[in-house]
Amino acid sequence: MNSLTNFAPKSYVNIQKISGNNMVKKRLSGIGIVEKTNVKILQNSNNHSLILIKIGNRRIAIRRKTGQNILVKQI
Amino acid sequence: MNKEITVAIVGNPNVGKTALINTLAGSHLKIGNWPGVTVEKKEAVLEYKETIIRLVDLPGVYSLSSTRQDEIITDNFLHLNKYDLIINVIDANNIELNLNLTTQLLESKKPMIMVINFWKEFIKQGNILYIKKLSKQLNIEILTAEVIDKNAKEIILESIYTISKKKIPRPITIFKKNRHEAIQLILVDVLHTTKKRIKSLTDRIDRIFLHPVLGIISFITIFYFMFKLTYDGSAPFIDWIDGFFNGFIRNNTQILLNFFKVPDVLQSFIINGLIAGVGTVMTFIPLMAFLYFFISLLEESGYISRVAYLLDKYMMMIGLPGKAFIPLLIGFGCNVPGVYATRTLEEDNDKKIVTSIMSFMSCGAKLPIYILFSSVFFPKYAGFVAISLYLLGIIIAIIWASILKKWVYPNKSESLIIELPEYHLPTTRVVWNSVRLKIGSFIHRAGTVITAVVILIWALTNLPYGAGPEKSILSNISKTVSPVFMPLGWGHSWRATASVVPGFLAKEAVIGALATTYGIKENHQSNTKSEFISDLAIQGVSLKDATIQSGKMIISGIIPGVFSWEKDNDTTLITAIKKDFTPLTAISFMIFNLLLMSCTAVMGAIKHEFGGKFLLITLAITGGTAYTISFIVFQIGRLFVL
Repeated sequence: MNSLTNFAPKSYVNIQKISGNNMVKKRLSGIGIVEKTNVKILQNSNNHSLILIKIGNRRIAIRRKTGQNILVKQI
Repeated sequence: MNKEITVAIVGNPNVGKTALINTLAGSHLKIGNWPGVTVEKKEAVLEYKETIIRLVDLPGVYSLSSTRQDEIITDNFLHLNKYDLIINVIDANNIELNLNLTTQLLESKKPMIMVINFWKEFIKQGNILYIKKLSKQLNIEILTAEVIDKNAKEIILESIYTISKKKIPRPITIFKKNRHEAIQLILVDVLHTTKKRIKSLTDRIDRIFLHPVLGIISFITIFYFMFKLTYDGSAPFIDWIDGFFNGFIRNNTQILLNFFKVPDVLQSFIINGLIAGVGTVMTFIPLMAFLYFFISLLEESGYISRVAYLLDKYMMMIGLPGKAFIPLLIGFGCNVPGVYATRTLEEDNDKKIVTSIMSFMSCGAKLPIYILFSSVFFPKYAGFVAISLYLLGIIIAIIWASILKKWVYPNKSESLIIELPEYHLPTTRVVWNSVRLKIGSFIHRAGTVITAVVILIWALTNLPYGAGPEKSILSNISKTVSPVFMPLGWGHSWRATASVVPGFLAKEAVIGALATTYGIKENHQSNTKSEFISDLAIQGVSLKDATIQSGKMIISGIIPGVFSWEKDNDTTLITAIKKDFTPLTAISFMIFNLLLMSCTAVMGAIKHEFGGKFLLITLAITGGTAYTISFIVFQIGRLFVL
């Protein structure tokens, strides 16, 4: 398992675990970021404050700090 | 008596709720004020088979978790308000995610219809959804549609009508298991999606628009052309309306008033008060229409959220999330919805900072002031001057945001998520409705508050009648106050000072107030003879010419040098303003109006959202900044000019 922010663009990953406080978990689950979901990383750069991912047909930008709470496995 | 039913339209953001309400209600859409959490929400009323159907468009939410303000509004409506039916609009291409909200809605007794939008795209990709099975599992009626398609209207309305007639409460569905597991269990039997990883058109466009360098270049280019086309395209219509009011309407009204031997004081009131004031305000409708048209295009296409993503890095430099850009951008149209749009921000401190700097985002109502003054004093560089003012507002906003973030509202922004929807080709109907509503709101204000202010100004400038403008009530008040504005360069002109007061009520009224005060100063040569029919025909031809000119100007804006158009800006008001202002004092006056609190409506919105104390703080910030920057610009400028 590794943090979502450690993967390069175009990687396909599966969410294994979400850490962080309940509010963060609630916000993420509300938008469909939950365990066992497949995610494609579209943009991820240390120069940017956000990480851009794709879940289904949905493009979602998450703050990198929050992205560190999402532990994933490459698929 | 017709039966009335209320339908709550609920769904995730960008699933087509507003498009649905537009399809169902067409031109019946209106803005309704809501009690409690007063926010402008879309509401439409229509009649179908002798039933009055009230459609309520609630803010798009992912869940009813009530952690964000827009979620609270939707949640409160669903729990506290009376309604008969829920329409849950979902995106066929994201069924699993959309069902998170659906399963929460199912935990109420209310009858519900699910409308699955973007169905054609879903099928085209080779996906299969067994509607009947899903309908049975969820115990609700499900319709598949393209909500922008007119054919969907009859099907959905008939479904609303049929279900509302049944009056049988739907059994509550409780999802005892983990909600996501429950959704997985439901979908395992009914949904078969293609495993193909297709690169969509959105992905291809985003390669440019979200590129760190190309994205910024695209953003600057798009916004440059947006403002340029707004100026160029609206200019011929502005001139036409000006000529229509100050020529055709004025002359014919004068003849009519003379014919009926109306007393001089009443004639002056109608000609110099009503027609001059309202006419001047009306000349700026084309400009508003063009601006709102382009903003609506960008909003509907899905580009605006890309801008929020792209600018996040830069917004974070002043401690604000990229999302903060959206209320600020809306503020360029009108500060009032901009203030309310701060609700989408997650941190209270971010909301306060964005609201504090909102007035520096030059709203559409301030634009007429720049257009007028810049075209009078800098005719060759009018566009450059106006854009510079916008930039100045942005720079001041950045400085204030940094100060407030560092010393007043210091917490680190924790905004988590921005959703970037699929690109959609904006539909004519949605764009038209958006422009129509905003222009309607402007005309309504022009017809009430602004006209009232202009009439008040006429009374103040004409009373006591016959004493002359220099001895009028407003002149005396303004002359008393004007020394305060002397260090800004335009305090010597009581008319300029006089326009600041109504400008506080509504910025649109500044030009109207100037027109009214100058209307007294000047003697209009009115025709005594008029061929009404031929004059009207000339107006028709002029409108046609203005439309052609506007088209040429838009094309020449895209392809420079194809056409050229000689502007004839020497109108009555322009001539009068030239006498009282210099280029430097005009700049000072424009800056003062740029940075001052936009209007009373914005004050109302701020007070409502953050309370009276915070309103006083923002008034102090904007007023102090407006005075200080105008003072600095004028005092430094005079060293070079004199």
